[in-house]
Amino acid sequence: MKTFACFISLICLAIAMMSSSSSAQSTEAKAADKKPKKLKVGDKAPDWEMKGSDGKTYKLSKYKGKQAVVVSWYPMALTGG
Amino acid sequence: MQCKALRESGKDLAGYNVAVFGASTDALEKNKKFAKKLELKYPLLSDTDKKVAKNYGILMRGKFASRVAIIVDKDGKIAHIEKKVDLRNHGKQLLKLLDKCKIEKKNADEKSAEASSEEADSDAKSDNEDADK
Repeated sequence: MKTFACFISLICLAIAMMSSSSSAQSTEAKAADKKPKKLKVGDKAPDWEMKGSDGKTYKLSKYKGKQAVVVSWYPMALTGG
Repeated sequence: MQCKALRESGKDLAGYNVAVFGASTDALEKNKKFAKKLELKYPLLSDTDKKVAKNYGILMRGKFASRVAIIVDKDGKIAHIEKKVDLRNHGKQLLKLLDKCKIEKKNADEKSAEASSEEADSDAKSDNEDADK
């Protein structure tokens, strides 16, 4: 019986620890959400200017009113692509 | 793989009024080599300071861009964010997405989708002109 009680109290402790850590995580996540806003469909696309592999410099805002733009992002060049 | 798949659908994508880019946080030189190796017809953009990836919320572990395709419409608004990039059929996937986002086709009245037939026509015309001379 004693061991059972011990077991229960351990579980309670574990749950308490888990919930406290998860609440800490969620507040952190909220704080993170505030700064870099997650982009949604319909949002104005943040402008960018990047150098292309063809040597030219491209700017997103230059396409406004002219063409749609697709940017296919990949993590690393020369790795499977 | 993703870039290659995109290259293979380049002709079809050219039927749309859209500029296509690949992008990563790699150095420009590395992307140049990569584009050359894959014989890409579209440019690869280098976001070396990771600012763009950060702005778009797609930076992973503070280093790499995640595999994501972002479609921006003519008005500069985000039309679609594709997180499930189909590596093998990325080009075809994009074509579908462009349709879904109602991205306009180039010279819809001229049916430029059949670019090859157009080329054939212009060849025929120049042949005629040569004959006239």
